[in-house]
Amino acid sequence: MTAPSQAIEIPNRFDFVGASDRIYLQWIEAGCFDADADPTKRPFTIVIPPPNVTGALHLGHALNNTLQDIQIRMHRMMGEVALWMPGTDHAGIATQAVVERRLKEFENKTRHDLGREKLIQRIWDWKEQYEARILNQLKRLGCSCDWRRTRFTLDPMCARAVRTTFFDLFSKGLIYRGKRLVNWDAYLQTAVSDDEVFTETVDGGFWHFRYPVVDPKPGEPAYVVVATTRPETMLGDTAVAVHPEPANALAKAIELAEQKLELSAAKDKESVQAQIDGLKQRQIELLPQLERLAAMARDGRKVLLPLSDREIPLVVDAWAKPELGSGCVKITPAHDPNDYEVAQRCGLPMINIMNPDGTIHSNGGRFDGLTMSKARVQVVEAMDALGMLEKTEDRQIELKHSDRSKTPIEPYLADQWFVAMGELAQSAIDAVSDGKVKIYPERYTQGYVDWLSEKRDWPVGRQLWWGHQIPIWTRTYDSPEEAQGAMKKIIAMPEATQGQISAAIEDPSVLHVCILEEASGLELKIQALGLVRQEDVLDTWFSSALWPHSTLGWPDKTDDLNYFYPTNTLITSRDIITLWVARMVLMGLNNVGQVPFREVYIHPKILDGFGETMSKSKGNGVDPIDVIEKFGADALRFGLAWLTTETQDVRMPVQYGRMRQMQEALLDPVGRERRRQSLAASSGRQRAIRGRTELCQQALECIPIRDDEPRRLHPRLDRLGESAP
Amino acid sequence: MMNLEGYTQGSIDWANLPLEDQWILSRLSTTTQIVDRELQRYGYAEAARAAYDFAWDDFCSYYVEMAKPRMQDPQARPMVQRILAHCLDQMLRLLHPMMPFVTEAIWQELGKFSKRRDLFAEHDATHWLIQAPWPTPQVDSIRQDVESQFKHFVALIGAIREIRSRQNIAPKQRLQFSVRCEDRYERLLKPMGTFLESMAGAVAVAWGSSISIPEVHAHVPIEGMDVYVDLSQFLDIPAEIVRNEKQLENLEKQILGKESRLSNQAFVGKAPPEIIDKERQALSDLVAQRQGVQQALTKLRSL
Repeated sequence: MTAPSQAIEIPNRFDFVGASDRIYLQWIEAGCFDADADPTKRPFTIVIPPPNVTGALHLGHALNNTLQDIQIRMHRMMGEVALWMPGTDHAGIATQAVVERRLKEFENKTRHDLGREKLIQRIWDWKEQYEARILNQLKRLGCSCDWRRTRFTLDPMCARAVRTTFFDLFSKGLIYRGKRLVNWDAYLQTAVSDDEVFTETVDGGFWHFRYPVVDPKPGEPAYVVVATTRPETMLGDTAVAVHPEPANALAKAIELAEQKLELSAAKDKESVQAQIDGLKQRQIELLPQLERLAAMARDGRKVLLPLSDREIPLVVDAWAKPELGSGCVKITPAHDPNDYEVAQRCGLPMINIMNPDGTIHSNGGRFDGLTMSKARVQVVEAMDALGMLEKTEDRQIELKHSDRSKTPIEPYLADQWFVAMGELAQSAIDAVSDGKVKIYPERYTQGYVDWLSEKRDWPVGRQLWWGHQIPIWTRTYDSPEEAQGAMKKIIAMPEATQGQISAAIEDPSVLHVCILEEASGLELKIQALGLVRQEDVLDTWFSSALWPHSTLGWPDKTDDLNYFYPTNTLITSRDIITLWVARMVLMGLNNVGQVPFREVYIHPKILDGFGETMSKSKGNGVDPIDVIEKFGADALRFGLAWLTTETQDVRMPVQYGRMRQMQEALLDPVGRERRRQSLAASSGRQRAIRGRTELCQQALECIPIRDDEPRRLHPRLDRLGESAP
Repeated sequence: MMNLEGYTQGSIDWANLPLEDQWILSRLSTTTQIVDRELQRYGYAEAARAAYDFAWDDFCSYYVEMAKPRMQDPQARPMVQRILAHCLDQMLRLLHPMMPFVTEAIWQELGKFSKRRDLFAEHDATHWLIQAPWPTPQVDSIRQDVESQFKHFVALIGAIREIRSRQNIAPKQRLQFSVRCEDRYERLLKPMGTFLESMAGAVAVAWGSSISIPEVHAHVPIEGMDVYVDLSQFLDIPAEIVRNEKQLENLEKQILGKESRLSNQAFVGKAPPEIIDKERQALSDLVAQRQGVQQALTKLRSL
């Protein structure tokens, strides 16, 4: 090596923290991240999957954003106008749940103690705090976003796109309201979607009740036996079902079991045989009774519902299984999804027995106002006192819980706003099958198509305060004629002919009016007619579905939209392919007439040392800043890229040592080589491997992110309580 | 970077490019092709590996080492520096999307030496690496034959270094080795003897399919070659003879003990058969060991 230079001192270690921050600022000052439409060059656009403002980012986000930045930087160097659109998501239910939980924990208050306006202010404070922290994390990671364009899904620009989209879909008749059985979170008092629910096994019971037959004829049973895991719901029963053809059903069950017997392994044969014997026993002992009940049901006979003293019909429906229990099943349409289906098929009434806060509704008679668990105890006691409790068994139950509040879900009949998915879903399926949108790795295409093919209407209303309030004003009139009259009057208004207003009737006499522009005088005019605005807000995915075009200025036909849309690629995680990716495709096609992106890359997930995915709510996330301060952003980024293969999820501990080596190699190739040789000479590869292991042990010491830990919070947030009234 | 002290901008004598320069430029273009292709198809891991292998192995471990002697030669030095600067310049661009900060920091340092490092560019380098043009592979520089030659060379160096580390031989100790291989390997690698000498501290004494293998050697097989490093000079022969004699003595005692035990009727009559089998096995192991030591002694005494 030549003699050391006098003129230039070259550091042989990279002071990555100081140098990186300095370089980053210089890039910003030089406008290196700015992307402006330039017709002489090709555009290259990525919209960031906007991180939720629920909390700080973890390593999973570091991976997602590193992969995007690599593409953006490469295409920028290729001479393209590389726009990386940054922003954050208001994350409706998730953020409101976090703030409400803190409110309860630190001030023992509910959102109703605070009121809508004050709670929203609290959430805005939280948002400001975490948005700043998230954007700072992205900057420390080196993300070269065009920060001048930073958007938020609740900002005025996105809000206008949401409202325009809603108005458009409503005018096309694709948004409607209907009573549906929803997953009710009685703690947060909102409906949650199937995707926001998890199942947990809990200890429960199985209660067998007797319902007396009304005026039994000779030879008929005095009562039917039904069994339930939720005895309190009997207050809302509207029928008892038996199978229409119990003989066939039993024969079929036996046939299936016999096939199973042939196929099953020797050790299982005994239990399968026992099952067959049991079914054959039923053919002898239970079948005549079930046949009789089915005949009675066809004859329009009734049973008396104890406690409520209501007569409810016996009905025939295949939901009742002759091979299980008594073969009869109670039907509570307003509180059980399967019973809801039976009621739809048999035309049964639906009786709601629950208030939104999870207590018993006045329809529950003398149990009015009790919590569900108290009502359960008292209903069982009362049935026992009447001699109607046949027996009780202990049983493990699969119970649905709300992901956000961790409380049990109550199936609940509620008014819901829906987007009709038929045509919209088909357009998104076609976009992928025509190759207009390509998904990599290709294996993720199937799930996307399957989900859309179900074409289930999208429930878009949430009974929350944090979000885009549904722009619909409603009034229920005394008669359909009155509703029609009011609608005619509204449609005749000049604003309606100008396309500012749209109206629809919900049977029989409910009028819904949708207004396009926010805060126009029109809202007051409509309110003067006695219409009241809907309280619900939109599902958070409604606004994120518009993200690729709303951030570029849609509904205006901006130059940016014209130049940067459709975007080139979307880089995201597999668990939001349906929730987000599919909906962006269909909304982009509906609003702009073009797909939102040409490619979608689904990257691996980062798992913790136990193989669990990192998540903000689990508290197992590692803050990328901790890794960056130990190893530098380059080491983290290179390590994440190194691990991004097509098939494997990435499991901690991650080895950052190799990335450190890379830095050394670049800075001091000769000295590094000498160290490597001496290392190899002393004990070969083992030593190098051990070195790397040590580094990754250090990485493991990085403190997991705990958003609920006061020490990590901004002082302003800790003082939240003091500013409360 | 210190290797660039006194760097001057200028052209390259393409017609007389030394083998190692041809090789590193070929590897650079191949790597550029891979990184470019893989990143465009989201093959992040593959891109990272290709860039790593080039930067860490090809460039740092081999090229810089091989260039050292020419760096001392005032005539050759400017040319080597241009190749070095070109490779570093292109490597920084390739790595920038993955490691933006450190590459930008070095780019700024590189700018202090020269504004023009890219041998194929018509313009000065941009001030910021983030705005520099993405590298294009020089397809003409790709030399599959040279790359393949170096692949075998690297394997050979690796084999010698492995033996050195296994036998605990200090880096400054020179080694002699023989390679049993087909002629084509000999033709490829024999001319690279000076590099083997400078980088592995080893001199080849024999090449070919019918070489005689050194009496005392260590052996590593690699693709197409059997590498034998002569270890005789690292043995202290009198000391080895003493050590082996002691071992022989020890073995004789143990064998005697086992034999007398197995000929003792009281033992053989009472002991369970599996114990007796175990003893017999132990005895035959000892006899085999004795034979080995005797052979080693014969060999050592003849040296």
